[in-house]
Amino acid sequence: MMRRSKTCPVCESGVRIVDYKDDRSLSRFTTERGKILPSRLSGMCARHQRQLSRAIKRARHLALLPYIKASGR
Amino acid sequence: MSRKYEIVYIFDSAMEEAQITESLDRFHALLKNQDYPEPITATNHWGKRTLAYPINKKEQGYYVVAQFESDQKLLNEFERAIKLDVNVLRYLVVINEGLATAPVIPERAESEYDKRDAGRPKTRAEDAGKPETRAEDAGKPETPAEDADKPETPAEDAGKPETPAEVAE
Repeated sequence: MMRRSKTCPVCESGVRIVDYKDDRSLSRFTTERGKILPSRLSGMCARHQRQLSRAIKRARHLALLPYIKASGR
Repeated sequence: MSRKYEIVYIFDSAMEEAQITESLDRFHALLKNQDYPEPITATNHWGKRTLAYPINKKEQGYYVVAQFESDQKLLNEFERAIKLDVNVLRYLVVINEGLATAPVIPERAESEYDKRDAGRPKTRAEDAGKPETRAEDAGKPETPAEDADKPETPAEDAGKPETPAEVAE
């Protein structure tokens, strides 16, 4: 379970722009079912949360991330 | 107006490498004109990858990322040609924000965001191991008390303090 950290995990890692091609990192900010994790839980700052949601949506379109994750897999 | 773009293609994985290169050449030739003699600045073949969900009943796709410079008029024609090609399962054109074309290597154990968390290993494994916990939390946001009761929370906290402090410097 991810607990809210005080600082934004993206700012912390020194990444300026969230990359939609980096599905491994993006999947860290989705729930078990593939929903986008709210910033309330991830601790993401507003700017990066916006970038993240756009990046996840792009990644989904490109089948890098699932729209809905099956529970079995 | 000229702009820098990035495109990701997903080709049918049944295609031969040569066929893919040929299609790419055909598409990229459409971007060429006197203003942009060399429109393509970078290409990267990711190769075959398993799709997160089937597209056109196909489980695998061949990914290619390319960066190029073009303007709107050329782009329309370019996108039209891609749309008409049945071997392109999917594509995405976005404005190039200066990102690398390289794929994230599937074998890589930890992503960039995880490197900083080296002090608290296992967190990710824990997450993966407890789907129920996570789903529950997503559904019921207003349950901080529940969080506190969970065994992994203190462990996470223990690893945390130094990280924000570092950032504050």
